[in-house]
Amino acid sequence: MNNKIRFAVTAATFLVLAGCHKDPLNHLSDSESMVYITNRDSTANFASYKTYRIADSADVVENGQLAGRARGAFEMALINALDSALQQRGYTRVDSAAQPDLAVTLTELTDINTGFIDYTNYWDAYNGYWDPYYWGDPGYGYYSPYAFGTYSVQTNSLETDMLDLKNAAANGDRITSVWSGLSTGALVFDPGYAATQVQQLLAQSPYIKSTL
Amino acid sequence: MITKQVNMIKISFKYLGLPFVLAAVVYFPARSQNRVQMSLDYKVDIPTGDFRKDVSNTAGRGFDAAVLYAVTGRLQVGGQIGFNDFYQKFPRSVFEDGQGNTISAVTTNSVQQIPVQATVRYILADRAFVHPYVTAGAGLNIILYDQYLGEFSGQENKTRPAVHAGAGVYIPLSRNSPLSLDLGAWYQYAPFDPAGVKDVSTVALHAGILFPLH
Repeated sequence: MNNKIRFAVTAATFLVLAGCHKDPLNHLSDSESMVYITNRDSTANFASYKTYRIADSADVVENGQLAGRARGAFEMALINALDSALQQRGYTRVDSAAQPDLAVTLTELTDINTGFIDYTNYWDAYNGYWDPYYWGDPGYGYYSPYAFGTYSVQTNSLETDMLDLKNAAANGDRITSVWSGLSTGALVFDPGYAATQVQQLLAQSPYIKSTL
Repeated sequence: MITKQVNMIKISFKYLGLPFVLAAVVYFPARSQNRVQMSLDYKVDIPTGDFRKDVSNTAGRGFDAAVLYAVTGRLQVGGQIGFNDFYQKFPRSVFEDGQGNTISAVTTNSVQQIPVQATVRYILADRAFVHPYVTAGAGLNIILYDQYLGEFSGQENKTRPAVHAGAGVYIPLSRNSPLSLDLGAWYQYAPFDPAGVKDVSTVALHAGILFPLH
């Protein structure tokens, strides 16, 4: 073989071999792809809340814009799992007429850039007063907050927020978010994985419990 | 991932061409004298020191290539480049990120190192059948450092100085063969600073072949 050709082949072979790389994404199961992030208002006393109400559907936010609401198999599985988990933590589910202490909102985020979360108050984006008495009632447009800034890839995420209705008046007529949980990954909108997501989010938030 | 691969390609062409240019400089003028040899080795790298905090698995997808010019019968100088791919996946864990967030994730660390170094090898016994040698080198280390939380990656790519020193043996395939086995080991000190990892130093074990370029 010509020397120059041999040299070139050797160099090219090495460069090809140097491309060998074990891709982490090809060695990750769907459940391993799931990431859960939680944040809390460090001043909130979760034992002071006794009752809650969960939204009957999830807000769907696409590229930062509210696109509608969803109430399918996944959302129902999620609501049931949250209901069960919160009752296990000592809270009581009530309807809006009973003026719940906490409101739980669900937001499905799609096609967004994701990253780590940045905690903000519930109504920062709206700059208005929203009466906690009407939270959750149809037609009032109590949209969920965008409390999380997540990673720099497009993906689907589920955001669950707990809102302080009890102290809205004391907080200057503002509903504040006292807890936020984000789950994201391959199984995020899988109805069969809704309960697992709730369990993980609550497991890493042991401070959520009532002293009833 | 696409961005990373593009970056790797860019870095590869930017830096990996250098030793081949250097090798060509010493190779083509000297080829008539049969003084230029090339070693191609499979390489296993064992993380050491601070590197083991993020990756303790031995990396077995490594290669090394060197072009050496025989200044004398015992002294060889030249350039070498290498590659290895380090990978480790940790079970799901819950941790604080220091910004008030609690995160649960399966963490995967993926690190590629591409050292590009000038090298010197000194053969301790050139008249024996087996030629033991000592080697040392210095140059740059291209480090592609990815930490995945689930499927989301955070990348730190750096080029840092690196040095290595070690020993090995050339074992001719036969008494008159121009080909030799090349076996050896070296320690590479490779500083790094992002992500709380001070260095990505390794112990390398390599085995390959040495052949004349003529």
